[in-house]
Amino acid sequence: MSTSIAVINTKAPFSTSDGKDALDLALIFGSYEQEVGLFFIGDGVWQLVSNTDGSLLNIKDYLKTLDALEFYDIEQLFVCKQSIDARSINAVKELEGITLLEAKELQTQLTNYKHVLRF
Amino acid sequence: MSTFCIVVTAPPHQNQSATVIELIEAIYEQGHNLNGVFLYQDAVLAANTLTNMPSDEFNFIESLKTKSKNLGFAIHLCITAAEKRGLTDQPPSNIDAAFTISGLGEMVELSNGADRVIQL
Amino acid sequence: MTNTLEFNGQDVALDQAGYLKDHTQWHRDLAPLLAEKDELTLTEAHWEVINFVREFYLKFNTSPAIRALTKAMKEEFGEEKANSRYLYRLFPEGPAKQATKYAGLPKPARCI
Repeated sequence: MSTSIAVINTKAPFSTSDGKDALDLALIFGSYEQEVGLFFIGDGVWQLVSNTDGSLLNIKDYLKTLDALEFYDIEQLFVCKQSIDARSINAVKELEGITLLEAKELQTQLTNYKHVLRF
Repeated sequence: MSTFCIVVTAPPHQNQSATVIELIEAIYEQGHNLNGVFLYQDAVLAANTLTNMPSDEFNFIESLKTKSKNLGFAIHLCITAAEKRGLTDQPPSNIDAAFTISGLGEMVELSNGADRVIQL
Repeated sequence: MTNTLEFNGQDVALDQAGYLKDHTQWHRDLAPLLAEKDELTLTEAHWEVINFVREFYLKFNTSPAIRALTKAMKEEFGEEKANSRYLYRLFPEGPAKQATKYAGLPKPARCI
């Protein structure tokens, strides 16, 4: 049996633990061979900015784990382009399977997953 | 008839938890099935036996436990999230026996068996 | 509860389950002592996994669960070693759990 799940990230990485909690959950779904899509919208896109380092704030730098997603078979990452532009972010991490999408395309992608959780 | 799974991430003292009870009632009233409630993040605090709500405020924990007992669904909690928040299943445990110690693997199972996963 | 292991004249703090509290205190020679507590003698085969798990952690800031571990090991060691049967034979209590312990890494989340 298997299912598919979209995990939506809406928070910046270090002020709350939501980003890490979402990633922990995604890794478990991946470990159980479920199809996982990671979505980044709103302030969630801050999680994808290169060269951030939580350890400078004494926070575990869980974002390093994003580079290991392939080992959990998580290869679908969708980022809201509008959110990136609105925050004047000029580059996001070059992760395997990452795609920048317009709001409408994001909606379409979301419908490909049976369940959705939001953090 | 559909099978639902409810994932709660809101803490028990926040008003959103009242909606969890209403959702459970609606699911059963309309003849659907609930395969379990899974508590993640701050929602795990609902299992703390030391929590005390003023009697004139909505008591989510008692309501949830009553529903679980009467309707026969399990309330799972992520033990990692719980341990981070001062809950322990080691004696003297402060996790209410009405809750099932689980992990995210259980959430995978519940999601697999559900037509709909609703997060509150 | 404090739990320490004496090593090179220093006290190394362990958590309740016997994992190092601070992974930077780890030393190669500590691993056999930690394994001894579980009545396990480390061989070259064990070391391959221990080193691999430690490198994985230092690179990705997380200890790999069994599936991720086998998948990641496949590239370096091939199918023969990158399977859970082989790994469980080496670490009967669970490769992710045991190899991380001897590699000085934090205890993997209980909820897995």
